[in-house]
Amino acid sequence: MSEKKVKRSFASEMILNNPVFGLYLGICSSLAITTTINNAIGMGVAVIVVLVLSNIVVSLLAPITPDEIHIPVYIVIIASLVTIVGMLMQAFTPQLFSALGAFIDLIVVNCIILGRAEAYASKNGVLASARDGLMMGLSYTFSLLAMAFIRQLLGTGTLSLSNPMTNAELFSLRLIPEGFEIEIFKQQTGAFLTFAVLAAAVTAYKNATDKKAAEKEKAAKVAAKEAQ
Amino acid sequence: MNLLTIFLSGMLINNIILSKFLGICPFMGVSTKLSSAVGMGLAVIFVIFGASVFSWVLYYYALVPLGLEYMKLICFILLIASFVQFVEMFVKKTSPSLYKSLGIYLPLITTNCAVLYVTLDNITQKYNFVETIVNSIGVPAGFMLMLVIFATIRERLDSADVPEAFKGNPIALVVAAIMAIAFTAFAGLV
Amino acid sequence: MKKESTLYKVLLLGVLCAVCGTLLAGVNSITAPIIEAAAIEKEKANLELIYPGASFKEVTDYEDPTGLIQGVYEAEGQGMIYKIKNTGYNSNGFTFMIAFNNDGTVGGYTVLEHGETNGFGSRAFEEDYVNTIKGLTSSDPVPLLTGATITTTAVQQGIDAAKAHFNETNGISYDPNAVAEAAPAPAGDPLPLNDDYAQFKCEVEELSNDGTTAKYHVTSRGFGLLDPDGMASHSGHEYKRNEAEIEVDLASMKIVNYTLTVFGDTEGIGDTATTEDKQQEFVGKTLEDSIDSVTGATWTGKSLAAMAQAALNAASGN
Repeated sequence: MSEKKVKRSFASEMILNNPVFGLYLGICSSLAITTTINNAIGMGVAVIVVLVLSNIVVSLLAPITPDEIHIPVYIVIIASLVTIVGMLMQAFTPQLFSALGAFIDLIVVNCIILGRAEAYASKNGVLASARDGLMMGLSYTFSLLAMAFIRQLLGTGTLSLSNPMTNAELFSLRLIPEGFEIEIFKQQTGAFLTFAVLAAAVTAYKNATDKKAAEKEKAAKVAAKEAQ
Repeated sequence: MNLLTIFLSGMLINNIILSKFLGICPFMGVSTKLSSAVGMGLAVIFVIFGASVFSWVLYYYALVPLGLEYMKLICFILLIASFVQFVEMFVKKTSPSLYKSLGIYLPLITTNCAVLYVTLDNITQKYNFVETIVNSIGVPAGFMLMLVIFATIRERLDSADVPEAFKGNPIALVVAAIMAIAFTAFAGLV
Repeated sequence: MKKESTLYKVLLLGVLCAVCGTLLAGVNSITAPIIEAAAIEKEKANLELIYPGASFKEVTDYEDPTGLIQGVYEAEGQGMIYKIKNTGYNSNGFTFMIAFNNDGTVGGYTVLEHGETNGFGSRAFEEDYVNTIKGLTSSDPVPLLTGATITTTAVQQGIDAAKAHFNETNGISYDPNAVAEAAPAPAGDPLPLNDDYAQFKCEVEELSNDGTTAKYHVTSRGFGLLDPDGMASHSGHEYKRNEAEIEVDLASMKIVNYTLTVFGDTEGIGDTATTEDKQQEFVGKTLEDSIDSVTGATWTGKSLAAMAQAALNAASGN
């Protein structure tokens, strides 16, 4: 019973409370860098690292941070973390860094990070905040992966993955024969379309679960009435 | 590069929303009504222009001489946040009517990635001061253009028969996808 | 949360910034050399084309008002390499490298990528022009290539930007406004004199005939339109005409003199086919011979050949 509940809450966090498709946070980067699975994983990992660390630091500093300056304090923390992650990526995974381009720097203004710092980390303990950052980050990475999977598959016909340190290909699998790729998915239009369809799917799922819950409630009410 | 090229490429060819995917959050939020689109657009033009000029001066006259280029992200984001705050206070004190129409959009702009992007882009492109000014007017002008076009389309969309799940943002993104195709035509402009 | 004194707030922000700054400086000192090495590594394959086996260093603090220079690299003890991007005919532009040896001579000129038209702009990156550039020094003006003027002008602008930087760092004085003579246009396919030149509508008039040689006044259609606005009346063939006086030896049926009297073609393009040398090429030719055409001025060359043919035909008719 309890196991089922945990599973459900994980799934619901991944789909219903998905920061990207559910709440429309951090859309910019998810549209821009999801041309390949590689980029999606790279960006996802960068965001997870920044999110977990910023949540930890923010929750540590929360007791000594006066209310009026909490936003600048958070911004300085996040910007420093992003700069550090960016420098490390530029040094050790240069290909990935140039593929993600300015979007590494723009993690700073990714609403998810400041949003979690403000809404969760500033009010909760260190461990809980770290867990929250990890969950949110994973959920974000999951969205990026879903986008990238569709776009890379339809746009290039291949699914591939390479080692970001050496740029050596780990595997590459052609699923759509050459000449049948839909080029437009590599471009901006494809990004918007993929996003729209995924967001609609999440909304449809949400609507369906809401309906189910409402029906259940109704049935329960009817049953209660009959019992009376 | 000549100034007109910079302006046109910032505004149309590399439109910040359709080709760089930046500033989408406020774009989705305020493009539902024409009046708020215009207000937000003007506020963004003003903030990007001001922040770009200040960050350019800060970068070339403080960070570079001190060898602190790697601090640019922290400095720029703080500069943008305080600039927005300052403008908000200034407008509130001097012109309550302007504050009423623009003020509500100002806090939203701090987290608008377009602002940070333009300030950083001016540095990466090695623009000089004049080019920086032109770029930081052209880019938000493109943002405002999109906002206005979009708001008019969305006002119509409200009365359209859209599938339940696509209502709201998803259908707006489909519209954006079609607009992106139209905007690729500008690629040959320069 | 609590309200604190202003001093505390300022202090907290200050300490935070200081801590973050120190942290960043630390990470930066570790990663900066790796990043720099990686940047050189990326270009190294290209740089090695010019100075194989040299050790390279990137120069970052250069001034370039033209914006054409993409990168400046120093090959230790050998020279400087400039990576340049400019736009010629193809709007995607082209990228090339120009290197100056430390003594000021050009150390290398290699194109990295270009999309210029084959046979025209592409000649700016082919052997003849590459050798022309390699024969220059940092104070020589860069010659243009007839028939590839737009591309080579873009090359010239790029090299001029590199020259400006190289000469300034090395204290070499030169005349930045000097203009070079156009490089000679290369010979194209041969034009046989007995080809079909009916479209040139040559008209022949005999000027003199003393039994051994005959002199003819010949006109032929050129490239230029006589009346640019009269495009609609195509049937009239209102093209400018080229005119020549041609003397033919009646016994051997060879041309002994060829003088162009009126030239109605595009200046700067067609006239490469009408130089004194080109006219002299007709002397001694019979109907079985051919002359070399000039790339980029094929029409004019044919026009001249058509007149030679007309004169020779007229002579044989005698």
